[in-house]
Amino acid sequence: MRISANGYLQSDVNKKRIKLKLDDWYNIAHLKYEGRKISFTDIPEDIHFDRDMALASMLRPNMQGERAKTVGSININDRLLHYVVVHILTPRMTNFAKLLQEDILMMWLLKNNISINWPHHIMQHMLKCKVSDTPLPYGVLITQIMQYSGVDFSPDANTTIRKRQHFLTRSLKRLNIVNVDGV
Amino acid sequence: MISRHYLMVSSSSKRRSKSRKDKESATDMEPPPPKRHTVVDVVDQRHFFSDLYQMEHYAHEFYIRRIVKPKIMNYDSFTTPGLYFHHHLVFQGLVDFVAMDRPFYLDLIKFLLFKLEDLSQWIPTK
Repeated sequence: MRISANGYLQSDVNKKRIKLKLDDWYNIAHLKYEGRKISFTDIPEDIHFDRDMALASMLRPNMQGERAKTVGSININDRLLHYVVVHILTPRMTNFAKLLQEDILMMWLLKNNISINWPHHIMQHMLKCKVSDTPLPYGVLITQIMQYSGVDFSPDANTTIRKRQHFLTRSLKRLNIVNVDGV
Repeated sequence: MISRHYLMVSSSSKRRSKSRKDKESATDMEPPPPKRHTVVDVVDQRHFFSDLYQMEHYAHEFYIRRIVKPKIMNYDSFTTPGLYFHHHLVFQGLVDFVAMDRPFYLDLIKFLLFKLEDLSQWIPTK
């Protein structure tokens, strides 16, 4: 697979040619190739991101002033947003409870409604995982890309997503988040 | 006594030794040596690759890589009062992306990312 600076993607799988243009991202995953291209190593100055202020805005009242390193220190909505970031948007295999610098940036962007170029973000994360020898992400999206491109994957064994992999309100119990008085 | 001793020696020397024919048959009965499997035998991905060198490179460098188990968000489930984190996903246009439910293919994930290259200067041709 090849990714160009302007978002084109080219590959061949099962001897089938794949060519994705910018508009194809919408057909594949309903994602538009537009918005800011932001990475942790290249944060534009004009978005005025302040890591300490961003983290302080997420901390629970009783944790203000403490050195927060895990998700247990932040409020419930930010914690659930963090869950979506580390499991779906920028998936990783470990350190789910840790508040990494990248996590704080991503959550801050989401909370401040700064439009992110998700196809760009996804492709950069794919590349990062490849070169850093970490577990490989976006299994479902890759299936979608194959399907859209007409790849025959009938000879290959597949894995379906189990119920445990679904994130829904029942999952909150596993995160030790309980509903009190309907809230 | 001496003659008897010689007789014993002589007797043992008369022991029937294996004939050449017997030896040959014994060799024939031995099981063949175990076949040494190559990487190509173990990781048979010929339907992905037309180049044997590339397949061996993939087998050594990428076949053992682990896959992140995909998660799916059930967006409609989060209507509980007090929860509003999911509204940020609506603004970003991520509702369909986070809810995508498809089977995934371990080999295809590895293969696609194996061939992923950083071509920031690459100019696409029409």
